Amino acid sequence: MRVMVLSHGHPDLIAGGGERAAYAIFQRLKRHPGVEETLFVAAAPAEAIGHSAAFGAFRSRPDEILACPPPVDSFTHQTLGLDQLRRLVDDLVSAFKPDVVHVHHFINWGLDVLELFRRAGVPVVFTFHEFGAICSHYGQMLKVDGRLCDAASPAECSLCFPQFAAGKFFVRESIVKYLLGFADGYLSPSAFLARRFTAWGIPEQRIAVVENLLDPHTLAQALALENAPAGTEGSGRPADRVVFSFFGQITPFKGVDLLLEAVRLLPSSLRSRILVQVHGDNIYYRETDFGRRLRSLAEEATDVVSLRGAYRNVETIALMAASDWIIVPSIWWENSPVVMQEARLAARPLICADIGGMSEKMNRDVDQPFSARSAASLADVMAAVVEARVRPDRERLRELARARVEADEAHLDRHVSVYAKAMAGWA
Amino acid sequence: MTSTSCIDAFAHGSALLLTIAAQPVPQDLPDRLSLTVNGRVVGCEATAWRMPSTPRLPAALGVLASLPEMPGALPRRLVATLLHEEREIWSGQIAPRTLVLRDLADPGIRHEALQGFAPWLAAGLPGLLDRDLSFAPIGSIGRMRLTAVAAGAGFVLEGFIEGDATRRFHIVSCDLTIHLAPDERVVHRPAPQAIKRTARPRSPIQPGDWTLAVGAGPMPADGRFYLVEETGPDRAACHGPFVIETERDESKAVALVHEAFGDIRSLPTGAVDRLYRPLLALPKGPRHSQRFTFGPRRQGMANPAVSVIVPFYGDAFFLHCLFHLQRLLPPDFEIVVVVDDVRLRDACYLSLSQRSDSIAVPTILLCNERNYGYGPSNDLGARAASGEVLILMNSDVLVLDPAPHVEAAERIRTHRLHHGQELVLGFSLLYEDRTVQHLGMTFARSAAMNDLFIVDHPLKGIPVALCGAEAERRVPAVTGALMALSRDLYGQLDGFDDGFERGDFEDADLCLRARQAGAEIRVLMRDGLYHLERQSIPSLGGQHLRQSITYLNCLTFNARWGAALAAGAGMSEPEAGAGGKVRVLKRRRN
Repeated sequence: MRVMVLSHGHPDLIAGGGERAAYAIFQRLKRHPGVEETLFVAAAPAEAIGHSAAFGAFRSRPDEILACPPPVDSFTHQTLGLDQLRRLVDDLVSAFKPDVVHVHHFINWGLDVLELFRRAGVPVVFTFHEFGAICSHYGQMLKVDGRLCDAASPAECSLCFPQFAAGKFFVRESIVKYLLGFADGYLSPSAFLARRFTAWGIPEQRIAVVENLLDPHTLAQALALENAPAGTEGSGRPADRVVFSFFGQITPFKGVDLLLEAVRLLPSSLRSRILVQVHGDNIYYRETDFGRRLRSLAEEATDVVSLRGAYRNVETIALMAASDWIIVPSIWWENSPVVMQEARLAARPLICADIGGMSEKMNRDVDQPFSARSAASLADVMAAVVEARVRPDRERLRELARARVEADEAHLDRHVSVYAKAMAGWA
Repeated sequence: MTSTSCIDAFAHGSALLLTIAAQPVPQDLPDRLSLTVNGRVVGCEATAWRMPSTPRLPAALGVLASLPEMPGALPRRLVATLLHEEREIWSGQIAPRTLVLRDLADPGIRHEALQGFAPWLAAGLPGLLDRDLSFAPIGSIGRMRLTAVAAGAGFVLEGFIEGDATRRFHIVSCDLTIHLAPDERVVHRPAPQAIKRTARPRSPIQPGDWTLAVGAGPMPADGRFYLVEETGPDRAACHGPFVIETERDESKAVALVHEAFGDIRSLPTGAVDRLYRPLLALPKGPRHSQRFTFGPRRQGMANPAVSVIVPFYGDAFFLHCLFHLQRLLPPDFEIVVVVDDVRLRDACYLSLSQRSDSIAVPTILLCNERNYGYGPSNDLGARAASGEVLILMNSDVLVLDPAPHVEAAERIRTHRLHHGQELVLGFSLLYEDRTVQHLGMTFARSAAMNDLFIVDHPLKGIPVALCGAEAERRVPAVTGALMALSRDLYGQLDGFDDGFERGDFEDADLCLRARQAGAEIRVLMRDGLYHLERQSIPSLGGQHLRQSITYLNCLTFNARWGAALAAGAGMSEPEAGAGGKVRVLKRRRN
């Protein structure tokens, strides 16, 4: 089969989980025996293409196309240039002749791409990476005042966005569902996300729950770690302190401030026995109230907390191996956070908020949940872990790491079988 | 000059000002005239100019002559002859009135001023005829501030004139199109904020000095006015000219009238027509729109079977509903979009043009030159349409299933063919939460509207699942938000009646006229049709405007149908349709 992978960005141009997931599939499909050819098509601004044609090749690679689709209406996610987008899709289809297209997001493209590929004769598989189709608040199903949201309805959505009346949300919902309906099948990285979409209206039997694939270099790091002599990993760690680490973008949704609040709540007797390392950065949020508050919380706690700054993806597993626990304190549902997969591969246990995809992806025999959005609960779990000297079995962690590496192959096969099913249904 | 007559004459010191009506006005003005008065030639300094044309005086010349050798006071009666190079142009008796121009010492300025006053003087204002006039600059009045708020086809004038309570001032525009007599202007107590804003520490403005008046017709373009004061039984003083600034703000204008005269519902019909109607009505006159086409061309194909007419006003968001309709309708339909809002013209044109190749339904776009209102926009759309059946559709209707459109058109076509009768079909319309927005309309008296008949939407807000299982029913009227009828019937009824202003009641009126013409009205209960109405939060000022428009149209509607509705005879209530009883589980008034 010939597979086209459509992404809303190229991960080497824009860092983001959805882009990485799409690219990971592309890289693995290239080596899959059942796949004759695969093409990665990423939306990119015209400047990234460089010249003025509608398409370009990323770093001159003939199988990594950059395309500049016309602008998209941010509320209904429809394209603002349908004729132009149609020509773009028709050109892609006639040049590459895909048997199936795997669309990872409608951002930057417009939901109309699903219809356009279908009308050009190509079956479509669509992966849900977050709740963008359901929720206008960054696709997170969080109310604008920060509360968790369980269900969308036109009137309730209008409460979050009073500038859009309930009827307009109904128009949005109707059109989004209509255009999504052009997909032949759907994928979701978590059962949690799939259930939300089924509750919203996508038939359950049309969504397959399949984990995202790992980047090849993440996999390589995991294998390197596995092959390292036992006991040498994580050398350089202080023997008398338990190291808790956060990895990821420093945004309000990831809960880093919650973590620092939890540190503040710890009994003083514990403070000399703990280290909290915050890995990551985010340029946009640095100079906001959130960023400033974070820095001041960290300054109060320099005995415990250290802000390590940005890290490169290739270092992640090694950095995690130097920690005892990886904390994922996100304040929204999350879908399938890459950091949890990386922690699993680094053979490290997790402390996660007990909601959404985080709750689902935890292994309860090694990982510790805490009550989502509660700094006190997180502090309790951290204190309990230190005082009770909780240390999950190393062998069990390594077993889980190996299992995760092996599972990746199965995930790839499931993707390919979903493609085949879409192609068969289309015939 | 073929026929001339002297309309008016004024004497000012040693100058004589005449206005001569001339049919026709000559192209070349005589530049040297001589005037004889009582047999004596008074010199060659008479000059003539063409006066600005006014409604009262379409063709006239002004003639200004100076009389250097006349004694101090002119006699009250003169015989004057106007000559051009020895040829007599006009001769007759005149009784010039006295003209006083204060503070205009310079003869050159005086001459200019007289030229400016002349059309005025010639017109002779009601109440001011046969009076001696004096002119003075506006500063002679004292404190004054007047502003105008334009709305609809008229305006509201508001402000204060010091002394208005005790003197009789007429407010007259320089082009003589506006004349507001003192009795037409209400004097009222100002709001406390207004006093603080404008009164200065010395003598306060008296409550009686505040004024408000409603004018029908547009404010003059240059905004120039005079205050004409009745200073005696045969004297008037003109103060000015001055400029009245105009802003256009319909909500503000209605709010001003509401505050000064009271709610529209508290006024008798005559007062409503004088005070509210000019502000709420849209100017009538010839209607023009620019036409564009999008989507597949119809050349060589048969005419479309059905034309869907969609008027657009106010919110470009609902273009999404239009685009969705274009996805769903079969190709033997056409869509006629009538943009009745110049602010939306570009958005509509651009968004249609960027998807024109992807549209499967031929689409006509009409861009109205000005805002003409709901009824006239539908009429323009119907005239541009070529389908046998018309489906009128509001822009905020979302169609998720095109089957009812197709079915309705077929029903109307075959019913005409087989029964020779016209059908007007409405549809069940839902809100976004699947409660009823419309299931047919009935008529009932409303205490809130002075017991006049209003349109009722029974079961509004009730979940449609609770509303009975019949497929259709016969009803007194259906909403224009989604209404199907033959193009012939629409033409026979001459479309909507533009006596209804902006939008409201005209669909009920159309249905009743259709019934009078022998048509039957039914509502089809179908799924997949949503009317997302009343979606914007009304602005504070806008509430009076909307309510006033509704009441105005309610008056018009009741003037025509009130008696028939009161007589009953099956006009007001729905009947059970084919297929079963009307099972209404709960009734609710909107």
